[in-house]
Amino acid sequence: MASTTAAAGEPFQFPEMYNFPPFFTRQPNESTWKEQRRQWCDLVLAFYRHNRLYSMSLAEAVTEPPFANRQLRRALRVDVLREVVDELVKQGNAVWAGAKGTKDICLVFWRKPEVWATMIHQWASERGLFNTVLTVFELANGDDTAGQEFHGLDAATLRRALDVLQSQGKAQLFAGASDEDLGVKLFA
Amino acid sequence: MGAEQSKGKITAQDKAILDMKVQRDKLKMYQKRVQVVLDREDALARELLLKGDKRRALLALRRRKYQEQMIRTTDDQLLNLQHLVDTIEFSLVQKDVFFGLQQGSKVLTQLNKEMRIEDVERLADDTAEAIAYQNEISDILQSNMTAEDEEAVLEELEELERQEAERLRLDMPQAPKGALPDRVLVVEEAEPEEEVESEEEENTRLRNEPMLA
Repeated sequence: MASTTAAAGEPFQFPEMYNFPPFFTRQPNESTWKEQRRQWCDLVLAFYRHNRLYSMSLAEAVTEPPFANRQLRRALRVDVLREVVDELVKQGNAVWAGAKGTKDICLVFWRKPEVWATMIHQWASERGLFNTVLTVFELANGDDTAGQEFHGLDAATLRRALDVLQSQGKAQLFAGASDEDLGVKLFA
Repeated sequence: MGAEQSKGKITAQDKAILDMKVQRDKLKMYQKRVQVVLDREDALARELLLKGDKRRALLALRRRKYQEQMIRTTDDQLLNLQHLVDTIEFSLVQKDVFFGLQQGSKVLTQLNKEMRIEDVERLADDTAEAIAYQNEISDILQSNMTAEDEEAVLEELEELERQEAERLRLDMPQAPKGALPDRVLVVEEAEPEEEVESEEEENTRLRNEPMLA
C-alpha cells in the first residue's frame, strides 16, 4: 500500500497542489477550505481508482500516501480526512462502513455501485449466464471474469452492487448450505 | 419482498448447484495456495543447493513433488465436479424444453377439440348447397331472358364491332393510289447481277475512262 504504482505499472500523477504544504492543513477561511476539500475529494477518487483500492481505514490512511506526503513531511490530520470523507459521502462516492456511529472505516466508490451493477449485468448478458447459479466469489475472482473491470472487486462493494441489482429485480442472492458463501442468479 | 416472488424462485436444485460451485471455488483456492507453497519450496531448494546443503535441498524437492501431486489430484476432482454441475444444468434445460413441448401439445389438443371434423364437413355441405341454389336462380333468370332480348343484345354486339373496325381503319396510314410501273420488275431482276462487279473490273473500268483535267 505504500507504493503509489498501480498494477498497470504507471505511477500516479499527483496534482500540483500536492506539493504545496498548506494543502495538508485545514484552511481557516471557509471558502478556501471548501475548495481545498473539493480538491482532496477529487484526489481521493482519482488515487483510489488508479490503484484499484476500495476501502479506507482512516487511522492507517493518514500514515501513507496519498494523505501523507513524505517529501514534504506533511500529513493530513485524521479529523480533516474525516471531513473530506463526509463530503464524499454526501456526493454518494463513499459510505461509512464500520460500527454504527463510528467513522473509522469507509468504502470509497470511485465507481458507484449502480455502475458496477450495470457492468456485471452486461457481462452476464453477453455470456448467456442469465438464470444460472453463480457464486459471489467467482464473480469477483473467477477465471471467467478475468478481463472484466469488476474482477478483483472487494466483497463489500460487490455486495452493494448486487443489492442494487436485486432491488431492480435483476438478481437474486441466496445461500446454500453455508451462510457465508452466497450465490446469485441474474435475470434479464 | 415483492421482488423475490415475482422474479425467480430459488429451487432446491439451485441450492445444490450453488453448493457444488462453492466447492469448486474452494478447490481452486486450495490449488492456488498449494501452488504458492510449491513455488516457495522450489526457490528454497535452489538456495540450499547454492549453499551446498544437498540433503535439505533434496527434502525441499521431495516436498515440492508431493505438492505437485496434490495439485494434480485436485485437478481431477475439479473435473469431476464440473462434469456433474454441467450435467445437472443441462438436464434443467431439458426439463424446460420438455415442459414447453407439453404445453404446446396441450394447446393444440384444445384447439382441435373446438374445431371438430363433423362441424367442418357440415359447413362445407351447407356452403355447397347455398352455391348450387344461387346457380339455379341464375339459370332461371337467364332462360327468362326472351328471344327478343337475345336479338337485341346480339345487334348491340355487332354495332360495337363495326365501330371498332371503323376506328382501326381511320388510324391506318394512306397507301399510294397509282399503279406500279412495269419496269420495276425488270430492274429488280437485273440489279443483283450488275452489282456483283468485282474490284478488278472496277479498276479496269476506271482506267479506261479518261481523266478529267
